[in-house]
Amino acid sequence: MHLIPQSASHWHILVSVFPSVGLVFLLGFYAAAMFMKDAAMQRTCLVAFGVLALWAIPIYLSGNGSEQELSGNTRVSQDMLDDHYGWGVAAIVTLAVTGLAAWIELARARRGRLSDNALHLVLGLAIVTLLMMAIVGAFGWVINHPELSLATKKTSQVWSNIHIILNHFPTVGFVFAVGFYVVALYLNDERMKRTCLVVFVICTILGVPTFVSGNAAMWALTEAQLQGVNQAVINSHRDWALYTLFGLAFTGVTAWIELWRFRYLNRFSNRSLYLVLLFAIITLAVMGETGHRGGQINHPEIRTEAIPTDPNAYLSPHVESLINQVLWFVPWQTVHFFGYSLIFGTALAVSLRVLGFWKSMSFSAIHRILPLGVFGVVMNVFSGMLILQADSSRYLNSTTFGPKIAFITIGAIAVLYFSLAERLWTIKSGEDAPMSAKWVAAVVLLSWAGVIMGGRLIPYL
Amino acid sequence: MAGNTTVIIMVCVLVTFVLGIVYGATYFLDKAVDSNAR
Repeated sequence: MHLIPQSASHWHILVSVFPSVGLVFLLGFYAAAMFMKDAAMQRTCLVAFGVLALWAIPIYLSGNGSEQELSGNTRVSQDMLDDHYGWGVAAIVTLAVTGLAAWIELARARRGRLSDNALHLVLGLAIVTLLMMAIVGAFGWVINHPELSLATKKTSQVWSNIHIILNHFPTVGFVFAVGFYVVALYLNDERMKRTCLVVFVICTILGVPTFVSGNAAMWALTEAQLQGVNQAVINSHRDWALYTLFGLAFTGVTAWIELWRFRYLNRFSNRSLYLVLLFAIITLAVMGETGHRGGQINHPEIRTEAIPTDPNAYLSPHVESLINQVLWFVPWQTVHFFGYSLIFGTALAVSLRVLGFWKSMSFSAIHRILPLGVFGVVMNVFSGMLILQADSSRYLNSTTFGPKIAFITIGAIAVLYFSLAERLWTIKSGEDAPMSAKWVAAVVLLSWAGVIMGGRLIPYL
Repeated sequence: MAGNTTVIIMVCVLVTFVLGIVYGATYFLDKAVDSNAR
C-alpha cells in the first residue's frame, strides 16, 4: 500500500510517465498493428489512446497541486515551473485530441472496417503528442533535479540524466506489454502475442543499460554531495534493482524462447505463454517497488516514512565486499569469459551464414544454435553485473565502458531480428540472404566485437 | 585470503554448474523442437 502516493507531487511524477514514455510503447504497438494489418490490435491501440487521453485529467490536477506544494521550495525555480506548465497544457490538449480522434473512429467503425485515413490521422497526432511530451518532460525533470547541473570531478552527471530517462522504459514498457498481452491472450491473437513477447525481450535488454547507468548515477550523486541524498536509501534501491534484473531475465528469456520455438511449432504453447505472464506480473511488481525506492533517493518531498541512514545497510554493500574477494571474483570472471565465447561464437556463425558463407545450410538450420548465444548473454549479464560491483566507480569511469554497454544493447536488439525476420526464415540451402539482413549481420558482428574490445580495454585506458 | 587450490576448485565448480545448466537447457529445447518435427 505504501506505493500509493500521498502527495500531489508524487501523483504527478507517477502518472505523467504514461503519456510520455508509455506513448513510445503504444506507438510501437500501433505501428506494428498497422504494418501487420491486425484489426484487433489496431482497435486495442485506439482504445489505449483514448484511455491515455483521459489520463490528461489526473496529470493536470496533480500538476496543479504539485505546483502549489512546491511553491515554497527553495530547490525549485518559478521560471522552470512556468515553462513546464505552459508546454504541459499544450501537450495534454494534443493528447486529448489524439484520444478523441481514436475513440471517434472506434465509434464510427463499430461494426465496419477501420478507415486507413483515420488510422493515419491518429498516428500523426500521436507522434506530435510524443514530441510535445518530450519537451514537457525535459522542462519537467530539471525542476527538481538540481544535481543534473552540478559539476563532478570523476563521474559525469550525464549518467544521472541517462538513468532518469532510461529507467522508465522497462517499467512503463512492462505496464503496456502486460496490458496488451492480457488482451492478446483473451482474443487469442497470435500476432499481438508475438509483438508483446518482443516488447518483453526489448524491455529486458534495456534493463542492462538502466542498471549500469544507475550504478554510475550513484557515484555522480554521492560525489556531488547533494543535501538530502544518503547512501542507505540508494542501497535499498540498488538491492531491488538487482531483483528486477533477475525478474527481467526470467521474463525476457522465457519470452524469447517462445519466439524461437514458434518458428518450429508454428504455434505458441499456452503453458509457456502463461508462464511468461506470471513472470511479467511478478517482475512488474518488483519493478514498482524498485521505482518507488528510486524515487525516494532524490525526491525528499514525496517521502512519507523515516529513511534509513546506515551506509552499510541492505544487501548491496555485502555483495560488493564478497565479489571483491579473489574466491568470488575469479570464478565469476571465468564464467564471464565462457559467456562471451558463446555469444561471439553464435553471433559469428549466424552472421556469416547471413553474409553468404556456408550456403549449403538453410537459415533454419543455423537458427537452431541461437539459444546458445542467448544463454551466453544471460551468463554475462549476471556475471558482469556482479563483477561491476567489485569496483564500479573505476569501471564506469573507464573510457570504453560506456561504449561497451551501448554495443551490448545494439547487438542484442539486432540479434532479435534473426529470431523474427520472416524473409530470413524462408532462406533455403543455396539461397542468398537479402541485403537488409546482411547489414544487420554486419551490425551484430561489429557490436559484439566492440563489446569484447570495450571490455578488454577497461584496465588499460 | 583464499588459497590457490580453493580458488581453482571454486572456478571448476562454478563453471561446471553454469555450463551444466546451459547444456541441460539446450538439450531440452532441442528435444522439444525435434519431437515436434516428427
